Amino acid sequence: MTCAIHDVAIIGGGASKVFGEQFGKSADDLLFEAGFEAMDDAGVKPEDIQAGWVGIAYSFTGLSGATMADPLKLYDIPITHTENYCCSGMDAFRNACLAVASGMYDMVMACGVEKITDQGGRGLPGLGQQHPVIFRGITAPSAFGLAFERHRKEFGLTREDLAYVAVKNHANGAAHPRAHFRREVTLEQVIKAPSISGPLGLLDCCPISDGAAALVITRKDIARKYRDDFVTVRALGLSVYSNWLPFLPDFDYLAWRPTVKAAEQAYAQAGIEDPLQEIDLAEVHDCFTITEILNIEDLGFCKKGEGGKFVREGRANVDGDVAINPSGGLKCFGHPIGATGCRMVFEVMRQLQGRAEGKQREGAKTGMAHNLGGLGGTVCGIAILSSDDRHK
Amino acid sequence: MVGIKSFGAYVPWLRLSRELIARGWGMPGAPGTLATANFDEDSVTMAVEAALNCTEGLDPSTMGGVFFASTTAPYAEKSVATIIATVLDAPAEAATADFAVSMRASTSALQAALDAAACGKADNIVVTAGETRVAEPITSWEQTLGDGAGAVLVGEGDGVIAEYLGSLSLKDEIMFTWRRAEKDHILREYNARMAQSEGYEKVMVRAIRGAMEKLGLTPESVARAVFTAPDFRSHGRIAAKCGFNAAAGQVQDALFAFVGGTGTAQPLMMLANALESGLKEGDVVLLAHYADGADVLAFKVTAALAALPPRRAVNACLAAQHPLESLAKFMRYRGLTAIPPLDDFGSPVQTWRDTAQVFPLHGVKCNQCGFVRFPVDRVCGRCKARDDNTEVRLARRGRVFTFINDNLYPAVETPTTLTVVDLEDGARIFLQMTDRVADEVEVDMEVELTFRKIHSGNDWNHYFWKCRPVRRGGE
Repeated sequence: MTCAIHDVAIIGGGASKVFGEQFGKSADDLLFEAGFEAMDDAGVKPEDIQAGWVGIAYSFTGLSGATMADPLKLYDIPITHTENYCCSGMDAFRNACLAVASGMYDMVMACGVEKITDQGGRGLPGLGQQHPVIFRGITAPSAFGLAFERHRKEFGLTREDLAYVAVKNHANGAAHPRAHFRREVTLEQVIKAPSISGPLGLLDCCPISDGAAALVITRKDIARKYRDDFVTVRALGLSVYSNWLPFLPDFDYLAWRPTVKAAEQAYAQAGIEDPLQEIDLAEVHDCFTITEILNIEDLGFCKKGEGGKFVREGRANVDGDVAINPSGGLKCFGHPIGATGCRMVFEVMRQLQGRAEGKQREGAKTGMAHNLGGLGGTVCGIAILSSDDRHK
Repeated sequence: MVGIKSFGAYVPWLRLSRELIARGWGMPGAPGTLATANFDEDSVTMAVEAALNCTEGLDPSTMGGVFFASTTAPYAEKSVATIIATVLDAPAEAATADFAVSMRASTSALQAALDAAACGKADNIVVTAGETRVAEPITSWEQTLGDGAGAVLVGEGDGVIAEYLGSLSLKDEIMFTWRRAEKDHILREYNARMAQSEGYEKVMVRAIRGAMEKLGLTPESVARAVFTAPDFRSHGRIAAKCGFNAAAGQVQDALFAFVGGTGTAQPLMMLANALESGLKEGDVVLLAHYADGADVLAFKVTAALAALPPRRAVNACLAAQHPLESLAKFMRYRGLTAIPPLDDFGSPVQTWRDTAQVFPLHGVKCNQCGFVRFPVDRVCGRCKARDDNTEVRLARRGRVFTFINDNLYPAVETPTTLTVVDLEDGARIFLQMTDRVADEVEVDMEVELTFRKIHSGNDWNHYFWKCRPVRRGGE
């Protein structure tokens, strides 16, 4: 199976030097670091970039393509600001790939950035449309955590199952030089941490992070001129559901529907029939530990209801059946909203090139970046990349 | 025949023991409790609850008026009667009026409603009063004032359960208790002894005796004397002076023991309590209420009282209660701390546009597939029928589908119990849960809806619905 996106290649990637509370840096500083690292990594100059896409979720980080144009001085070319909640960066990457696949441009850049700590406060600032009283009280952790009681009732999910996700992702992230947290946590620490929302304690929640990431994207035939170890795109799934999940009687809180639907699209494009056998590693959206457990199930790495067991048994470890979040994930690496999708693709790219900065999944050939956004799963973006298709 | 056609009351779920107040300040305490509005309750939400209890089963389109009385309305300029009428789904043409400032506002409203019914101007007028007066800490008033609401339905015809016989009013200028407009949050007083004896006792006795004389009644002919008082002791002092025999059950309990003095709401709550407590056809009820004078109204119970379906009033509310565990919470709820109220996103434009959703909680039902949903949208999420919906009043009962006790939302009190509820009509709705023990919330728990204050963003009160565990008691 082939389609036009299979001709798309990534030849360079970069990210802000460190993710986390970057009080001393602006969004411009973060994009400066990510953008020029990506161009240097690819061996291209700013004047080679013909078009750009920048993922940003919060308007206070920046509006319009100029947020990307100014720090990199990429003036006079088409640049589009993409916003799709936590998938904003993934959608920037997707649109950049589609533009190259269309033949309109030969060389483009996708990037994402978020500068959340300038706004302070507890938790994430409010995002998007709001109503004064309807849906009031919802928070990011509660929106995802509402799945816990349903999952517990149907499948016996436990508090400990959630904690194992944090332990695994911190063990991975501790080894990554750019991660927000560079430390491991114990099961006991996770369970005893104060509750943020229901069963989700402080260590079950991703932190508030600043960061940026960028990718240089071109066609396979051009990529060969720049490097031998470029990676190629096998699939780009994107599925949008609703902003009103707790008002939809058909939403059962047992699966993140956009993940299921985006995975269906992506696996069809990539010709993947058994993801557990065919995918070596996956950067999976783990804004909260429970989010990762449902995602592992929804992506088909295990049966519905067995996600907790899958993690607990070590099957999601870097050397397990499939490495889930070898970077440390949002949980430990950090989650600068608009940057995360591109950051995941950057990590998968380096894993497939065998030059992971943290823990390396040995022999990785096929990797996934999975991004879920909205209050409990409104939108999901999935990219599947390969180091095996360069000559196909 | 003109008179009262139904009644209801509301007593908040939380009760503060006087012992806890006494221990907090190291002073002597009286027995009993004070009914205390939760942080999301005020005179409006309690009056809504009493009015809903009073009008259970009544077709809202027949409501001819909604009168609200309180000295603790949330606004100095802005009608509350319109909020309540909108929640009740009363027609736009129903008369709405706000009675305020004097604690006799409730009996003024009741007389106005009776007069309107008597002259044929309106039928089925809901008269409701809610009160949340705040006492100065470390005074006897602190152990006296309680929160609550009462309601009666006034009108004419066969449905009258207590026929209006007549009334008498006296004015009496005195500084007893007061709060200065825009200046005082807590109750002021100067010399309670003078006010109790020269004000309350003398004026109340004179008014009650005068009313009986005017209406041709004797103390013996009164089956139930429903008279209010500023405090427990004063209430006990005047029965004998009016010729009533408290020991023989002739005097209606003033609710000081477990509820406290509810100001404007007190006469309506006591009247509701009388009407649910063994009165029979032919019984004469004397209602007397004091504040800067007195209003006395007399009623005669009709055969229709026995036929009225059971109402949720004082007895049912007293059966459902939960202890408020600290004086600090009580003080925060009463606005006696420097902690500002919850300031969340507000928009008068959105609230106005969505009035039918926010106040009477209307959703839509698809005319093609019957899917009932909220919030209102144009295209059916199930069958995709376009703009083919009927606006419906959503069910007020349901079950918890899932929930979480969240500590992140900056509420007055955490955790905030967030629930996803399946209503009995099939609609699903996200609601905060109130009046619950957080650790006892469960999936599949039965809940009922209650109208509450959600936050005070933009410097005005945003009201909406919450759910709470179904209240048992009084059935």
